[in-house]
Parts: sequence; C-alpha cells; structure tokens
Amino acid sequence: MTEKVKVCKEGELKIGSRKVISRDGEGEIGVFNVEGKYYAVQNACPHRGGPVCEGQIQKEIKADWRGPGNRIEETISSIPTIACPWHGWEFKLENGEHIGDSKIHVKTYKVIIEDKNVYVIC
Amino acid sequence: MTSDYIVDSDAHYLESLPELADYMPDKNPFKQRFKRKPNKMFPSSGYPDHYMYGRIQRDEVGYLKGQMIPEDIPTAMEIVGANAIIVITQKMLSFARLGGDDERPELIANAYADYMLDRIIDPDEGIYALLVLPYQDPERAVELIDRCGEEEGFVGACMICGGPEPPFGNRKYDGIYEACQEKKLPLVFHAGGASLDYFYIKGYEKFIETHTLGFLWSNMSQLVSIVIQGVAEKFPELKIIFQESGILYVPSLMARLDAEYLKRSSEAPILTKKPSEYMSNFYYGTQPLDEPKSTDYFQSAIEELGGASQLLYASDYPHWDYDPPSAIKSIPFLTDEEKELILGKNAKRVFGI
Repeated sequence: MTEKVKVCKEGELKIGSRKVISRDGEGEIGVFNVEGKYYAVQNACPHRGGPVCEGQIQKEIKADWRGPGNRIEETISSIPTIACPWHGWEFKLENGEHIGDSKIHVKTYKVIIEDKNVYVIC
Repeated sequence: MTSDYIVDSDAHYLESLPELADYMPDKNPFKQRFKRKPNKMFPSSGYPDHYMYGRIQRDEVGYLKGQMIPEDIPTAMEIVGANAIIVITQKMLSFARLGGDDERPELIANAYADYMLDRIIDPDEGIYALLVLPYQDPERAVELIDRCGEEEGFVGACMICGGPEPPFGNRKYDGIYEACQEKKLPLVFHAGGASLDYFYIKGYEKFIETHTLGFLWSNMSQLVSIVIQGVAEKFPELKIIFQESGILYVPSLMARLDAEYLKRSSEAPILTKKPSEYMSNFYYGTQPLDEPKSTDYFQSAIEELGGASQLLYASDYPHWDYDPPSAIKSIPFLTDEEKELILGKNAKRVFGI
C-alpha cells in the first residue's frame, strides 16, 4: 500500500537543493531539485549502507569511441547521478540504477506536486 | 719521444665458475652449484639457472644446449602426449629487454614467421604456431598480420606481456586488435620473462621469489589494462587468451576489478558490464597449474573464471615448470567431458584446429 508523504511546499525546495525526510519503514529519503526536476532516493547505499543522499550530484560521464586508433572521448551526458560519499557508488537519480551495473539499484520514489505541495509516494 | 711500452688498462679474463668453485669452502652450496657449469655469469633471481643447476633435465630436446631443431617438436609432442601442438617463440619472450629498440622486434618477428612456415609448421602432423607480433611498432605488426596471418598453420597471434609501454589497453594497439578480429586470429597474451628483471632490481634473492610473481604480474598488469580500456568492448569478436600464469589469479583479479569498477565506474565509461563479465569470456592457459589445498576452493575458482569452457591445457614444455596432461586429468571434480574440453576440444574450437 502506497502512501503520500508531504516533503515541503512547492517552491521551498530551490533548484540545486535537497531535503532529507524520515519515514517509518523506509528510513531516510532524500528529495532533490535538480534543474527544476524532483527526484527522491532512499538514504541507504546498497553497498555498505552509506548516506548516499549526502553525496555529490553530477551528470553521468559517457564514452564516445569513433573507431580503432581514436581516443575514447569522455563526455558529460544529461543524466543526473548521485555518488555515495563513502565509496563513490554512483546511481542515476531517475531510476536509482548504478551506472556501472544495471542490476544494482538504490531505492527511488516517485515525486508529485499536488495542491502546491511536494509529495513523495512511498 | 714515443715508447713501444703499452699498457692496456682494461682487458678481460673470462673465468670459469666450475674452476672457481674449487677455491670455495667445501660446504658452501654454491661450490656444488657452480661445479654444475651454469650457463649464466652469475645465476641470480632475475637471471637464473632455471634448471636448478642440473636438477631439472630436458636432455631429450636441444633446449638446454641452446637451440632446438625442427625434429625436437615431434619429440616434444610424444613426451607430452599431444596430438596437436601450438608452438611459440622462446627468444621473443624477452622482448622487453630491448627497451626502446623497435627495429629488432620487427626484424626477428618477421624472420621467425618465415622460419616457422619454412621449417616447423606442419598441420598434417598437428604442428601449428602463433604469429608473434612486434607490438613495439603496431603498424609493422599489422603488416606482419596482413602478410602471414592467413598462412595455414598460424592459428593465432601472440603478444608478449612483459614490459609493453604503454600497456596493451592503449589505443596505439587498436590496429593490431582490428586486424586480428578481421582475420579471425585469436590473440594470445603470453607472460614474458623480461618483466622478471623488475623484481630482481627490487632486491629478490632467489628465482623462486622472482618467478612466483614475475609472470603473474606480467599478465595481470596487461589484463587490467585491456579490460578497463575496453578492448573487448571495442573488438567484440576478438578472441582473447591469457597464457602462462596459472589460473587462480583470474577470479581474484575479477573480484578486485569489479570492486574497483563499482566505486569508480565513471573512469571506465566505455564498459557496459562489469570487468569480470568480460574476463569470463576470455580464455586462459592452465600452466603452471596452481593446485590449492581445498578442492572446493579450486572448483569454485574455475566456475568463477567462466568454467571449463574457458580453459586451454598448455604444457609449456620444455620449460622447467611444464605440466603434462595428467595435471588436468587428475583434477578430481572435473567430469570427463570437462577434461576433454580443457585438454583439446576448447583449443580446437578457439584456434580452429
């Protein structure tokens, strides 16, 4: 059974900021406003349980290889990620997928805006 | 005024170690060792008497006399009990000792290829060879692949792992990988003796110390580079084989690379799966087969590296630490089918024999 948990009023969570809330049964959940889009992630890294929501947010680095003899060009994509500050495990904010292994996930939650409030669906 | 009186202030006398041994204390082990006529100036940890001062013998072939002849190959096959044999160079194992000289590797590799075709390779008799590549000059290596890679009897190419700079994951070797992939030539990465010297320089005292880590380091260092720089991602049809460091290092390196990769994925964005998943598609020569005390551990290690399908029996004959086929036949947990795979069927499939 899902539950709608209020995070804050719309506009309170500025672009580039984050807020960590607590929820029984889920522990802490980090809610992020990245370039105007909201994401929510459980604050427990599947690696060693580190506080992933305290980690740095950046864009996933992608490889661009143009054939034999060329350097593998590394480019910054538009996919936002968060890295656990304990060991650097890095996850896509959109779906919680580890950027190096799609079988590993940090738990993510849907974020909705209703009645000018921001909610997380747990 | 000149004088006819000349002093040569530096000439050399080549002393004989067996003769010097007569002047050594009776109970010193080196008296006995040097009496056995070691073929080195000073056998040492990095420049050893591999054959332990006469303890290990290979008199049935010419190896210890300084040269093998074509007729030694059937002899080697008979001793090992092999129906087919894939021969690779001895001299070029020490390529790295040539340092920055990229002329001799090209010269020797080309001469070797022609010699092998002329004198050694004989598919009707089950005698095959690897085309050893002068990786120091990748363009010339590709020329050699183009010239000889499709000659009958060259069933693969070979790069010696000891000492390439930069390591084999670097894009400068891409042309070699592309050419091997195009010609469907499996590429063997073979541990190389020259890297043993690095351990000698660090101060090891006995060859047992140097050899334990030398070949292992040689292969591990290139394996890390090849995996992380995405050679298998860039050339997905290329068959990659690592030879002569045993097999137990493979699962250990898989675990370590996976752990590093999950922490530092953004440093290897070309990879689309974990390092171990590439490595379990590589092939590994079994020699020198390490046999851990725990059979369960041994079995798990083979499963971890990809299973019996990824292993190729290799003797390394006539080297001092060669493995006969009984090394595989005596592994207690392998089924008969798995032993057949390791002893022959995998090689037939991989090398197209």
